[in-house]
Parts: sequence; C-alpha cells; structure tokens
Amino acid sequence: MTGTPPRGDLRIGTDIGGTFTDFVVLDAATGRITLEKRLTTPDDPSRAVVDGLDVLRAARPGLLERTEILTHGTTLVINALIERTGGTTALLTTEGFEDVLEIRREVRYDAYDLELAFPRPLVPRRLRHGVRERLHASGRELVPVDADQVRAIVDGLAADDVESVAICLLHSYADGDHEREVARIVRERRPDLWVSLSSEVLPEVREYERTSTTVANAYVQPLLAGYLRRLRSALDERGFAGNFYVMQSTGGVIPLEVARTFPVRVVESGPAGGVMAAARIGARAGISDLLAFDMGGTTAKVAAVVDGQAALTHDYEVARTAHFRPGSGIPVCTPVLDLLEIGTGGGSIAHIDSLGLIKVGPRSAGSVPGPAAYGRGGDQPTVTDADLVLGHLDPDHFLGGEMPLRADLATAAIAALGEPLGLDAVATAHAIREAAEESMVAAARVHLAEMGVEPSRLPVVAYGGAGPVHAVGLARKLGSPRVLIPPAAGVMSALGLILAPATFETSQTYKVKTDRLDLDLMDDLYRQMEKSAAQLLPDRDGGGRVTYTRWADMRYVGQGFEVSVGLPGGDDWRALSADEVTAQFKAAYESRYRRSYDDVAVETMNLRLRATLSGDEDGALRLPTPPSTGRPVEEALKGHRDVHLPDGTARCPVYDRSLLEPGMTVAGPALVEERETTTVLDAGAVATIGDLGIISIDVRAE
Amino acid sequence: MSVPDPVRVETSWRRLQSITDEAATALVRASFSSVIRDFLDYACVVFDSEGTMLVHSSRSTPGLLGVLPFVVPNAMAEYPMETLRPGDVLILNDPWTGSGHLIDITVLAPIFHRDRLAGYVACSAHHLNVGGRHATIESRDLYEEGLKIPLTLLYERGEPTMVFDFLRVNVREPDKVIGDLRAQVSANALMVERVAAFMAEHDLAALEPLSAEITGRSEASMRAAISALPDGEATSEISLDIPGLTDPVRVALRLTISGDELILDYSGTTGQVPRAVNVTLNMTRSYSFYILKCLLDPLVPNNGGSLRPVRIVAPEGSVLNPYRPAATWGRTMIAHMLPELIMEALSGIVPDPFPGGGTTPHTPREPLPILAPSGATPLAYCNLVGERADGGTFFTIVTMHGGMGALATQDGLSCISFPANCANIPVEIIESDAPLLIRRKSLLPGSGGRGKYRGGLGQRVEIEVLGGDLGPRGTVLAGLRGGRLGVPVRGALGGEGSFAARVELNGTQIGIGRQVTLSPGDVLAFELPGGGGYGDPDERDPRLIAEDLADGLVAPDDLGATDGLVPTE
Repeated sequence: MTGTPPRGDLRIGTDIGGTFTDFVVLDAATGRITLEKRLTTPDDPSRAVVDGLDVLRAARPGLLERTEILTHGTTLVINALIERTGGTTALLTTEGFEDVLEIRREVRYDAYDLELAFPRPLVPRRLRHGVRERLHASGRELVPVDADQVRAIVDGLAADDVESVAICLLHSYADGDHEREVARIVRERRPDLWVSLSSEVLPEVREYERTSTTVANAYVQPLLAGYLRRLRSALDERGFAGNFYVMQSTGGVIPLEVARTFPVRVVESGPAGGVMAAARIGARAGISDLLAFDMGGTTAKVAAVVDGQAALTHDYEVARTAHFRPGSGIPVCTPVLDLLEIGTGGGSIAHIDSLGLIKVGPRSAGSVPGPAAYGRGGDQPTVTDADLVLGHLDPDHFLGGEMPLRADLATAAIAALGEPLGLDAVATAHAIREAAEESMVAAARVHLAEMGVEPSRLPVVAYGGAGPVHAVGLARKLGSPRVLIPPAAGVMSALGLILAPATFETSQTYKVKTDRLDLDLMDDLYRQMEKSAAQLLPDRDGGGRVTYTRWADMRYVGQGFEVSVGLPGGDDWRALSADEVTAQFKAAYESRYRRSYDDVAVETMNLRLRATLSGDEDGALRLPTPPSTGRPVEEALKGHRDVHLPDGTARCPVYDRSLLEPGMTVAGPALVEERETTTVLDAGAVATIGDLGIISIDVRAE
Repeated sequence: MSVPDPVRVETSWRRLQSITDEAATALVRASFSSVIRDFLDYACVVFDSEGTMLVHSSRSTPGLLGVLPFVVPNAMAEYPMETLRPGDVLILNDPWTGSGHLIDITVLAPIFHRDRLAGYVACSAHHLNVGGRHATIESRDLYEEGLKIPLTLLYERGEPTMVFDFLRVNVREPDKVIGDLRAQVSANALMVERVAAFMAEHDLAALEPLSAEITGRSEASMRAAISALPDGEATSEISLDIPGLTDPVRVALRLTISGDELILDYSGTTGQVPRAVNVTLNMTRSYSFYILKCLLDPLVPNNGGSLRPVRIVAPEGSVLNPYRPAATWGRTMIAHMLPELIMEALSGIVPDPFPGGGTTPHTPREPLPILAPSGATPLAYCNLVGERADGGTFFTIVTMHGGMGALATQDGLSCISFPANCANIPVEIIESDAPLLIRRKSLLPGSGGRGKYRGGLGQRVEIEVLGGDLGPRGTVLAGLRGGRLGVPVRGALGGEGSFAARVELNGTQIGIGRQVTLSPGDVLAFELPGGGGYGDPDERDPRLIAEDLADGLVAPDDLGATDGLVPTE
C-alpha cells in the first residue's frame, strides 16, 4: 500500500450468500443506490462477483475506477468449516498435548442426553505432532525448541499432502517466540505451506479454545486465500484502485491482506453486514439501542445493538452438532458480533412433544421438500404453513407471486398435527405461531440478559423473509415498544457492507490495579493504537476524517470476566482521574450484577480502541427516500383478506409497500406486502412510514 | 379462549427456565474462582412459596438434581421462612439439609410479589474450600471437614451479617470464597427481580397454579415412560475397596418396576464408614434419579414433579443414608457408581436391544440408551495446596476423566465427565495459578474397551512440582479421590472392558487413601481407563477399525487382545 489511493465517489458492497450474490452500489455524492443480484457460483464464488461487477460496469462505465471502497462479505469460511471443505491441515503443538482438540473441556453439553456427539476435530490425530519445547505460564523458557525434531516433523508432512499448518504451543499467549521459531523452520523447509500461529490468531489463555481457533484458521486459509487472490487480480485487471475490504465478524472491516492471514475473523461476515445495516437504519430513525431480528427459512438470528454498537462475543462456535446447543460445536474464539442463532425459521417443523405441548423446530423442512404449502412433497407442518393458514401470507403473492403456495396442503398438515389435541387448523396454527415466537423470545431474552440489556426498552429491527411476519408478535412478547421494518429487507447484508462505516478495532493488554493507574501511559498507548489503526483507512493522511472511541475492559481482581467501561478521548482525557474510572466501572458492574463492592480491588485488563472513518457516521450517506406527495393512504391499498387473529377472524386491509409514502399511517389489524416479505400488524399496532420508507410500528398503541 | 392452554404453560415454563439460565451466566461471569468459572459445578433454581421446585438452570451438575427439590422444603422445616423480608438472604452448607458435602454452599432468597412472599430462589455452588482439614477421604467425621454453616441469614434487609466475618477467618483464600459467594447472591438477586417482573407482567397472584401444572406434566411424562417398561424386578450389587478400610463397601440394589412407579431399594448396603465417602440421602437420590431421567425422559426439563414416580429407599445409617456426623467430602466415590448399578439392573428387565443376537435393534420402540460401564466413573479429583514463592496461597483443583462406555448405537466418548458433568480446568489456568507443570495430558491408545462399538478412551495426566523460583515455598499437599480404582471397567453384551485406574508417584504406583506431600521435582501421574465396549468386537464395522488404526487410537496388536491394553490386577 503505497501512495494515497484515489478518492472515488462510489462504494460497492457485495455479499456472497448461499443462493444469491448481492451487490449494492452507492454513489456517495447523490445518495443513489443500484442493486444487482446473481446466482452464487459455488465452484468458484469469485466468478459470480466478477460477472456481477461486469454487468454493473457495462451500465456505468468507469465504475471500478471511481470506486473508493469495495467491501466484501462472504460465507466461504463458515461453509468450509461446516461442510469440511478446507485444506488438509497439520497441528504442531507442545509434546504431551497432541490430544487437546479431542479431549476438549471434558464436559457434556447436555446433561441428560447419553447419545450426545461432538464434531470430529478438523485435524485427525495422525496429523497432530508434538514438539519438544516448553514455556512456563510466565512466558519463561523451560525447554528450548528442539529444531532438529521440528525439521523431521516438517519433512514428514509431505507424505500426508498437508497444505496448511497450525502452530499452537502452551503459554504462547504469554510469549510467542517459540511459535515463531517453529514457524521459521516450517517456512524454511516448506515455503509452500500456509502457517497459522496461535500467538497471532488468538493470544489468549486456555489451550483448548486457542488451539481450536488456530486450527480453524489454518484449515480455511488455503481456500480463502486462493479465492481472494483470484478476486483481487480480476479487480486489478478491471482498473480498480480503491481500498478492498472484507467485512469481519465484528461488523468492522479489514484489508484483504489481513483477511487472508486471519480467515477466522470473517466467519460471520454476511450476518454481520445485516446487523450493521440494522444499526444504521436504527440510527437514521433516531434509535441507538435496538434488537436486530433476522428470520429466514431455516433459522432466526438476533443481535443486540447498544449505543449504536452491536455487542461482541468471544465464545463463538461453528458446526454445532446438536441443533445450536452451546458447547456442541467447534470453538472459534475470535470476536464475533454477538448473534444468537435459533432453530426457528419459516421452514421449521412443528411437533407435539411428550407432554402434549406444541413445539417448533429445530428440525427444518429446508427448501426441499420445504413447507407443505410449497407442494413439493412436504407434509410436515411448518411455521410458513401456519402463517398461510392464519392468512398472514397470501398464497398468490409469495415472492411477488413467482411461487404460488398451496393453502389446502398447509391446512391439511396443520390440522393433522392439532387433531390429537382436539384443536382445529386455525387454533393449531395460532399455537405454532405462539410456540415459534416464544422460543425465539426465550432465547433472545437469555441472550439479552447475558449482555445486561433490558428487552422492554429495545425496539426490534426486523428483516429476512419471515422477520416482518413475526416481528410484532415477537416484540409484544419481549415487551418491546416498537418495530422497524427497513427498506430492502431482502438485501440487508449487502446494504450493511456499504452502510457500515469503515471501522477498525484494536486492543492492547494493560493489566493494572486502578489505584496504580498511570493515565499518561494509558493515553500514550491509546495514541499509538490510534496511529496504527489510521494507517489502515483510506485517506490516512487525514483531513480529520477519522474518529476514535476508547474503552477499557475492567473487573474486580480475581474475576475471570470483564465489564466494558467507556473512556473519553482527545482533550477530555486530561480531565479524567483514576477514581472516576473506578467509579464508572462500579456503576457498570452494579447495573449488570445488582451489587458492587468497595472492599475488592479493581483492575484494568485490556484497552480497546475503535477507529472509524467519519463522515460515514453522521448520516452523510444518503439513501433514496420515497417522495411525499400527500396522497391518502387508501391509494396504497391493494385489497382485503380474512386474517385469523388471536381473538377472532377479521377482514384486514392489505397495503402495497412500494406505494406507501413517508407520513402515511396504517393501523392494525393490517398487512403490508412487498416482494420478499409481509409485515403483519395485529390489532393495537400502528405503523407510520418514515424517512427512507422505514415502517415504524408502535406496538403498544391502543 | 384465545390461546390454547398448553401454549401458556409452555411460555411461562420457558420464561422461568431462561431466568435461571440468565442467573447461571451471571454467576459464572461474576465469580472469583475457577471452580465456578471452569469446573462449572453449580445450579440456579426457582421454587414456589410451598417449596415446590419449578425449574433449574440448564447447566447444572447431576449431583445437584436430587438435592435441589429438597433444599427449600428442608429449609422450611428448619427455619421460620414466614419471617423473611425483602433483602434477606439465607445461607447453608449442611450436607443433610443441602447438597451432600460442606464444600457446596447454597444461598437462598425469598421472592416478594404484591407485598407477600411468593416463592424462593436458590443458588448452589461448589467452593474452593471451607477451611478445616485439607480435602481428603481420610477424614473420619464431619468436624474434620471444615466450617459448618447452619441455615442462617447472610444478609438481613440487604445488610451483610456476621456470617461473612466467620467465613473470612475460617476459610483459605477468603477473597475468592467470599467473591464466589457474592456472585451467588447476585445470581439470586437477578432471579428474584425477574420472577417478580414475570408475575406482574402476567398478572399472576401466585406461582402455585403454574407449578402444579408444570410438575404435574413432568410427573405424567415420567410415569408414561415407566409404564412403557415391562413390570419386573432385578438386583445388582457392587463391592468397592475404600482405601483405609479393611472391608469393602457393598452397595446393593433391588430395582422394581410396577406399573407407572419405579422403586430403587438399597437395603443390604454397608453401614456408614469412618472415611469421607458417605453419601447423604440427597446425594443418593441425585445420582439414582439422574440416570433414570437420562434413560427414560431426557427431554422434559427437570423439576419437583419428575421425581414423584420414583421411590428411593436407603437404610438409615448406611453409606447411602448416613447419620450425622458422617464425613462426606469424597461421596462421589460411591455415589457416582449408582448409575452403573441401576443400568445393570434395568438391563435385566428391559428387552435386549439386539434380540436373537442380530446386529440392529428391532424392538417395537426405541431401546433405552443403556451405556457400558465408564472409565470416567467415578470422578478423579486431585487438589493441590501450598504456598507460592511469593508467599501467596494456592489452592488448585485438577479433575480428569476417563472414557465413557459405548452404547448399542455408537462408540463411547473419550475423556468426558460421567455421570458427573464438570469441565476440566485448563492446563494453562492451573499453571498460571500454581507452581505446577502438567507434563502430559493425552489420550491412552487402546484404553477403550473393544466391542461392536468401542468404549471412549481414557487419558494419562502427569503433574510435576516445579523447583527453584518457579516452585513452591516448602512442599505441596495433594489430596486425591476417585478414579476407577479397584473396580475394573466391564463391557456390555459381549463387549470388552478396560483396565483399572493407576496413580503413580515418581513412577511407583500408590494408593489414594492418604494425602501425599510433594516436593519440587516430584511427579504425580494418573492413568484413567477408557469405557467398556458394547456388543461383540467381531461385529465392528471394518471402516471404524481402519479409522481407529489410522489415528492410533488402538495399536494393531490390541485388536486381537481379549481384555483391553493393561491387564487388570
């Protein structure tokens, strides 16, 4: 990266999903947005990206030359981990600890299930090699690296067609020298191999989690690196000279080179884009705390956004064997937006459990055979079937009418389920809807509680095909006051790629008790972090376009988990005192744990910094807003249909979303249809169309 | 009626469940020791005002399952609960009232709704220590085992009581113990607040109608599962050598299935012993009931109703129902064997999953997932105490697990806690806390019992005491308990077994009856057996055999062996 990149006026977001590769082009000067959609090309996903860009270039010459930032989201990494299509990987670890991946944490994720199973380690035992070396927990060397032994191991890797090597030695989080020495030998003898070091991928204590994460990184590296190389060279050939970023799982972006070194950081790239879009849409509606709710065909995902930021988790897992049960997957402990995935989507199958209660999911009918209503041979009652029976969905308007649904088949499947309970089809469909929403609410509630967030004050931003159908019901059960349905709810991930501000986060360990806090030193550390983060942003020479946010992870001495405490930056830093930092920690602690203590010392653990390309933050990016012509809302009415509400059947108006204008109001019970989804307003819900065409629903209106 | 009733029950049930899970998360995050953080031995519970348990946190150790439903009823019998006021918090660690050994401390708090007592919440957790003699099965009575906390107020109207002062001067590492206790209090406060909000939101005057509904359904579900089994009676017994005792401890079981009830009668079991292995009735119930729940009704969340169709008889004064002041610290050495005893008896009544010697189950309904015996049973536990070079105390727990027995449908899991469900404390955490070096922690190839499905593998763990400035000030005292010692792991239905566990000091086999004093350079090693195999080894899928060979999980010459890797002595 030399010289100042050209300052273009376009931004491109492109997201590779399971079925479609989406494109959003934003003209920063006019706020104009262009959309494009291609079928994903699984054999080489870069092909669909390049083809789609070529179509956009044909319509707008000079497109890539004028692009300042191209941000990419991809499901490549997570798919490779789930489908096990990564490269053959070897693990070099401390001798005596070759089985850490298989011994795990020795705990069963389900106390009652005797038939439980774990995913097989990504590296089989024969490719796990013990290196003679040892560090103490303090980082002091106890046994030096046996270089001859490492050479012999490396020379033996050829016989197993190893492509990638993970190096994870005990206590390398304290000192990475031994890992670097082993890596040097590997590279010396086999420069063709990819190498991942645990001291770089995840420099954190706890050997199982660190090894698992490093191995996952090594496993997907050959695949992701090859893909990004092909994509980059295709872009270069087409005159692209801007910054190429990849959306990482935190909702920030990283340069291509960083993504190639640390593929695990982009594991939840796509969903992160959706959450970032939800956060930005919320911001446009003046809301900084919200719940992003994405409900698709097989699962639903929820994430909390607080103060405009989505929370992060470090306890992420992929490929859970037991339907999303925590503990049943492969830990990938890089920071990931704290998304909770729930086995409740439109295709989730309803059943009666041993107690005679109706339950939904986690089994899904998928797209084949799909819900009974698809008429493709499925006869299991799903959430989509229930929505159809209740009249929430129009059988002739599914996907804009491209895919007619069979109400008769849905009714038969639902009625068959309810019969043993003495319930008719409509009552059963209500029960399914209730059970689906309740299981999402229960999961969301625990998830929010873990972050210390009170659901009753969080508006819900709903997207995905089934999100707007269930959003009001979900909000009511959570006690949320309000629901927002963003525009273009079907391409939220790609939209998020251009709406998300270019953001980098860095951290630095600074472990000290607050009575010995050196605020000048802290300020220096933050300034160093600011400097290096700015180097990764376009326009790094400035113009004051970068803003910085500081915070610190703190805890009582002896605890294992921290609470984040926001800190001032710039000139405000000078007014800060150690007592004030401690007091802020105690307030944050008390709000989460109901008590705080004066007789236990407080310490800082990590200093964290976020650098954001500003101008991105203040709403300068414009999205097209439909004009207000002052027409009456009746002109958006496309008809009426019977909807079964919990307290009876009503003839409800159906509105065409594309005809709704800012300022219009729709009172429930009513339905608002668009191509990819339907917004369901029950009695008591009142929707107002706002800026950008956002549907804002007051759930508590009476 | 707008919404079918089953939905409302389910909704409320899930809500209460999520409240206990939220509290469990808060407990872990606010804790001060790796016992809660990494070992995960705790539970959070909600009761109604009559003392009926409604829900407990999903992550709870099986040892607490049979204990929790009785905590509030026991407390109600001992304490004038009607005098409790908002902000009051009770504490106890009596093994008979609470959870079976002093080291588990239970904290209880009342829920108030509309100015009346509406229910209780409780949080039980294993602590680092409660003072007294260092943990060892050598203790002859309760008084050697540490501080006893009678059911008493820990907070009175939100103000801490003298109990904290007693604790601080009686326990080792008081900052961690008190920190963990405070985390329990926080978890309870969260539950109290959430349950009251739930009641207000749903306009519930009381929890009892809901708990009647929940426990009634759970009871019915358990009864249905028992009814599906043939009536019958079977016996099983086990003889355990307890270090320090001349006679083995015999545990006898008569299991009777009669209609929708199941009776476990332990009459004939040895009387209580002067070693810290006695199992209070609460604990006997926990592990007896736990395995029945796994086998018969694993999907329904546990509560006070699930236990009703099961009657457990343990003679007073026996090791399974001792009188005070029996010593109880190492009770898992006996209690953890109960599931195996129960599965053995049950397999004498329920149909063979492979009738006629065939290879696939073809009974009309799903067979019970009965396991071959596990090398992980009982829990192997080692605590090491001493002073670091900097003068600070260290108190470290090392737990490790052998393999789980195979099932009729799959191989056993390697190195996994069963029937306990506690995580290991990571090697890097142990070495950060204590002047110890874990030299090895690896699978033991060939330790899984052979069978159509093989047992999970056991492991070898070596713990060295460091020397020099990284070493301890003085010596390190190690207390040991459990591990599959003296009771070989057998296979099931033609499957083969594994070896008995070994404990070595500097390469020489030692017993676990006494505490061991370790000096710098000493190495304590554990070899834990794998699980038993299930079914005839000759019927094993050749592909599975090839995979095991490629991964070195078995050695080629093991394939023809008849009795695991290391012969039983």
